[in-house]
Order: sequence, then structure tokens, then C-alpha cells
Amino acid sequence: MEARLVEFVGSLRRAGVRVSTSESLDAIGGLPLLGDLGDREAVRDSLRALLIKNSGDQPTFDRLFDLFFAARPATAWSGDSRALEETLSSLRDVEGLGDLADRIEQLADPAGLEMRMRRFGDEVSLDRIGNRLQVGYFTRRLLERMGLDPSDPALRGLSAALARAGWRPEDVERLEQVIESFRRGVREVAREHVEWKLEQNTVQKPQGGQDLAERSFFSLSEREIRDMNDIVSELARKLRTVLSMRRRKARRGSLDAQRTFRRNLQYGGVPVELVFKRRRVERPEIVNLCDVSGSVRYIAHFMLQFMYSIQDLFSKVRSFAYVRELTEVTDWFAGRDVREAIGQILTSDQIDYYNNSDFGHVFETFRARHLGEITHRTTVIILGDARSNYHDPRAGALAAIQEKARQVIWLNPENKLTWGFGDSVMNDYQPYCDQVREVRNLNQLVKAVQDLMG
Amino acid sequence: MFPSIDDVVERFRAHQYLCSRNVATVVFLASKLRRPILVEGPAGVGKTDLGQTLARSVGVELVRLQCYEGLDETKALYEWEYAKQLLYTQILKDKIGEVLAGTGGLRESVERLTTQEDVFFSERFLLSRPLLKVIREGGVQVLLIDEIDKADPEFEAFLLEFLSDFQVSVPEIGTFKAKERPLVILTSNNTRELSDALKRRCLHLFLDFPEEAMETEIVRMKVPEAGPLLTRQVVKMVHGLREMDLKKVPSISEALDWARALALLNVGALDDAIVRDTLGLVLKHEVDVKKAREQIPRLVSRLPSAAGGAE
Repeated sequence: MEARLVEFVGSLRRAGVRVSTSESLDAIGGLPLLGDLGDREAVRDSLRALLIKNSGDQPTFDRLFDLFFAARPATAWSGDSRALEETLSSLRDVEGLGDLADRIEQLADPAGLEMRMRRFGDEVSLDRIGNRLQVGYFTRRLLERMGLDPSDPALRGLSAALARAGWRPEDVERLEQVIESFRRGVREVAREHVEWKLEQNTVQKPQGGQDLAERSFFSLSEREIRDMNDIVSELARKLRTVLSMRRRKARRGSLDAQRTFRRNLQYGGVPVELVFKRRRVERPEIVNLCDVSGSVRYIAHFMLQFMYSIQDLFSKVRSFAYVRELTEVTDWFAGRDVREAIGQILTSDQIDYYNNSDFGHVFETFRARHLGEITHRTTVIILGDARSNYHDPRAGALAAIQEKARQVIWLNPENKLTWGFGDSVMNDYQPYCDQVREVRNLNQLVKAVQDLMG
Repeated sequence: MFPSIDDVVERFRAHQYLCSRNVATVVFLASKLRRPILVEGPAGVGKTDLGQTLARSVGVELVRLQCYEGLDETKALYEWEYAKQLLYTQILKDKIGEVLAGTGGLRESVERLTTQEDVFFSERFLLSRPLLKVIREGGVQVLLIDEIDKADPEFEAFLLEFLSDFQVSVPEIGTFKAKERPLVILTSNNTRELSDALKRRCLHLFLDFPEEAMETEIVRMKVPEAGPLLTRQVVKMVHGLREMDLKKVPSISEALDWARALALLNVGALDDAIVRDTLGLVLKHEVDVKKAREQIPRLVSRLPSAAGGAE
């Protein structure tokens, strides 16, 4: 059992599950406590509790467990056990065939078969199998070791030996049939064993959430975008916990002498309990300007979803969507499910998707209509690729916004190296932004928001 | 403690807690290995209950440590009773004359003083908080560390030492070590990743919502006043709601509340109108209620009816 567990842990690790040495020792020490190892589900539950510490790894564990601890042991002989015994005893009567009979007897026992399969597997380096094309080769090698390959001298000389012993041809044929079907049974088991090994070596960890968060937005498939929704909510929830923790901590200010005195009157004026002032933490006001044109709309989607999932950390969040014309979408979120609202933003006919992006026009409109609402507490976040289709960038409008706002942050979903090439006017806007960040994947987006909170 | 896995199931059932064999296996293993169990899962699947039931079936009082952000050693481990210590020094001031009466020089006085018992830092003024309490008390103890994910990472690190050796050192007095290792259950709602070191020390148990049959049995056991038909319908309905994309899906405790309320209202079977009126008991967000209302006819039509169409 021990060796088998070590092997099991090995393949868990190969499948990308982190299992520490102490955990595998726990498994080895813990399993015997169950008493009855025949209770397969109890073994499964125990190993899962001892080895798997992230619920995301459970499917991998279950698959490997099924592979490793098959429900019933494999047997080579599916026929009548009496027929096999008779064959063996008649083989033993013939000079020089006792050895073959012994071998067959050992392999007929499921435990013996399995033990040999493992030992011979090690001898032929079955662990190194990594390709389906090798299955036939390794199966043959196993059969050779077990002495049941057709090329084996004992098998080849079988009929001659029996004839010498005075067997009638039809009896020889019957016995050969029994042995042949036994041999085929063993080959079947060996083949399964080899395939099982192959599968173990090739079980891959399913695409994890973190990987998806590292991938560029542009390379996501439809399905992945749907998965991504859950990851966004999850990350937002975690970020919110972290940030609100930090904020509560930062609230502790200097010593409040007056209240300390009062509190400690009960101790005769000895300052036993100290009271601190609470600092008021300013919540930033956020204005989102989201480009929702075809090229970057998914990022806008995540951005909006993210900002609204953590909106209670801000005193106010206002959102605008634009392609060429600016539309305020803040109210669309009121009393609505976030995803539903975003879905509407990305399909609404109030937004001019058919147009070409014109950032200059957008900033000019924003300056004309909303500049008065920008205060020293407002953080303006602009999401866009700054590809302005050769329109005038009108950076002056952005400069006016920056002058009034606390800060202007530009999140660009394009690779930094491509900024300023073609119709990208990123370089014109850069001087009027307090920060320009490349946000090509979810992790970068999360980081940007996290930094925003200081 | 528990001779077998089935025994765990039996004894938990006797204390009104139905658990799957998976849960029972982990509890059994933990009681043998004396390892803490880290229970993760959505809110309201009975993580905290598991600890309480374990304590009851072992026959001891549950020691509970509720974690929150800012929890520190003085709340979790021990604290000195400042006020009493202060009083003690006051008494000391009054009595010091008597104690030192008749001594000659300073040296003699100090010698006389050292023969007196040093009470200031002694167990007399030591206030045991949950962790120390578990250790000082004899016999098997059951400790529930609730919502460990709410505590700061520093506290988690501090807990590591406690969980591996089950000892606590008080610098002024010495080290307390548990005579018998306690059974520890940690729960987490997964609001943040716990450290690998902590996970490594624990058996991991993921509790999810139970299957329909199991939940029906739970409701039947806890709310016997709801008839069998109503029980089945409530569970089916709750399962239907869990499949929807809601802000907060209903948990077992909400299913129980609902069944209880419906039984109080003398409802024999669910229909559109009753569901509509009582949905607020199951769903806690306005948005969710609104969303679920649209689905009521579909969900209700799938319910088992009295006329035999049970499943």
C-alpha cells in the first residue's frame, strides 16, 4: 500500500497538485487507522482530506483516484477455475513443464498478477511512457518478463513436449487453447496496466483561474470570457476584503488623551486602557470613461464589472461609455444586477457602436458637459486603446480635466511597445495623465485598482 | 473516542446532525490522528454546527474562538487581570509595613520580601482565553476556531505553533502543554486564501450543499411539524433556487426557516401565491427576490404533488 501511495502522490504532483512530503507521510500514517481498507469510499475521503487542500484540485484527485484504486482487481482468467486447475495439474505431470505451470498459477491470482505487473513495470521503466504509440511495445515487454510472450521457449516447445509425453493430439489442442486464452487474458491486463500508466502520466491540471487571469484579453475565447466573469467576481470580493481590512487599520490615529483619562478613571487614573483617535479616511470618487468600441469592449466589460463589485469602497462611482459620443451609464446600474446592466451597455442602441473611435471628441464633450462636476477628490480612469483613427487628439481637453481632478489614470489594453505607432495617440495624452498603465490581462487590472486605493 | 466511521454517523445523528460518510470519515480520521480539521464551504452548510455537534457527541463543552480582523493574542490566548493586579499592589503597599516589621537594613528587608509568595504574575491573575483554556482544562477538549479567514495573516501564523504542539508559553510563568491533544475544527468562508502552512497541518474538508434526499431528511428531522409533502416541496424549491444565478443562494438554515414558517402558517403544500408571499424568508436580496419571482411558475410546476408524482 505504501509504495502505491507514494506512486499516487507522484502522479498527483505531475498533474499539478501541490502535495508536500509531510502530507504524503500523513497519508501513509493515517490510512491504516481506517482499519478496513476495503471500504473504497472511506479511503477516498481520507486521502482527499489528507492530501488535497485546495478545493480546485478535487476533480483532478477524483480522476486519479479512480485510475489508481480500481474498483476490483484485474484477473487474467475469466473462465472456469476448475478447468484451469486441471490444466495446471496435467502440465505438472509432464517432465519440464512444471515451471510453466507455476508461473501460470502465480499469475492466476489477482494479487500475484498485480504485484508482478508492478515489479516488471519498474524493470522495463514503464514510468517513462508518455505516448500512445508506446503502448504495444511496453505490453510486449511485460509479457516477456512474465514468460508469456509467444516467443518464450516453454510455450514454443509446449506441443512437442506434450507429444513426447504421449498425449493425444486432440488433448494437446484442448490444453493449448486453455493456455492461449489465459495468455490473452494476461495480455489484456498488461495492456490495461500500460494504458493506465500512460493516462496517469498525461493527466493535466485543468485550466486554473489564475492562468486565465494572466492571459491577454485579446486571446480569450467566448467560453473563457464566461468563465472569466466568475473570476472577476471572485477577485473583486477578495480585493474588497483586503482593502477594507487595510482601511480599518489605517483608521487608528494618535492617542486621544481626553477619552483615555475618562476611560481610566475606573482604574484610579492609572492609564490601563489607551484610547486612540479615529482618522477619517477619504473615499475617492471615481469617474470611469470606458471605451466600448469593438476592439476593447470585453475589457470595458470586466472593468465595469470590477468597479461596480467594489463600489462600496468608493464614495461615488460614475461611468461613461463611449465610442465617438459620450453616454453616461451610471443610472443603468441602479437597482440592477451588475452583469445584466453591463450586458445592456454593450448592446444598447443609445451607444454609437457603428462609429469610429475619436478620443479628442470624447474629451471635448466631457469638458463641455461635466467639467464642473470634477473636484479635487475625483479620480478619472480612462480605459481605451488611444487609437483615434487619425482624428485630432485635442490633448488640451484632457489637460483641462487633469487640472481639476485629483488624478487621471489611463489604462491601455494594448502592448506598451505598440503605443504611438499607427493611429495610436497615446504619446499625445501621456503628459496629461498622472499614470498610464498597460492593462492587458485581469491581474494587471486588479493591480491597477489596488494601487488606486493606495 | 469513535470506534468506527459508522459510529460517528450514528452519534452525530443522535445529536440531530446528519452527515455524509465523507464528513464522518474525516471526523473519524481527525479523532484518531488528532489533527485539526479545516472546513471550507459556502455560508450556511453547517460548518459551525459540525463543531458543536462534535463537542456534544464527545460530551464536553465547546470552546469557541470567533475570529475577526484585529483579533490578537490577548483575546485568543490569555490576558492579565490588570485591575486585580492593581488592587493587589495597593494591598501590598498597605501590608508591606507588617511584612517588613522588625527587619534591620535594606538587605534584610529584601531577603524577607523574597520569602513571600510572588503573586503578581501568577495563575491567580491569569485570564484564560479560548486557546489557553483548552490547554489548561484536562481531558479531551473540542475547540472551534470560527471563520479563520477573517483573522489577520499574523494571527494565522501565530496559530500554527499552537496547532502543531498544542502548547502555550506565558513568559512570566512558563509553558502550558495540553495533556491530551484537543480536537480542533477551523472554519473558513474562503474570503481570502489561507497559508499553505496552515492547510498542511489540517485535514481538509469541503462541505457543500447536501443532495436533495439528504436535505429532505435534515428538514424532516429538524422541522418535524412540516408534513412530508411540504418538506419535499420546500427542499425541491430551494434546490431550484440554488441553480439560479443569485447574489446569495439559500442555505440549509434558510430552508429550515422557511419550512418552519410555512408550518406555522399551516401551509400543507406550496403554490404560486404562497411562494410569492414568503420568498423573502429564503432570499435576502431585493434583486434576488425580483429575479426569482419571474421563475416561480416554472419552479412550482416542477414540485412533487400529493397525488403520488413524488419525484
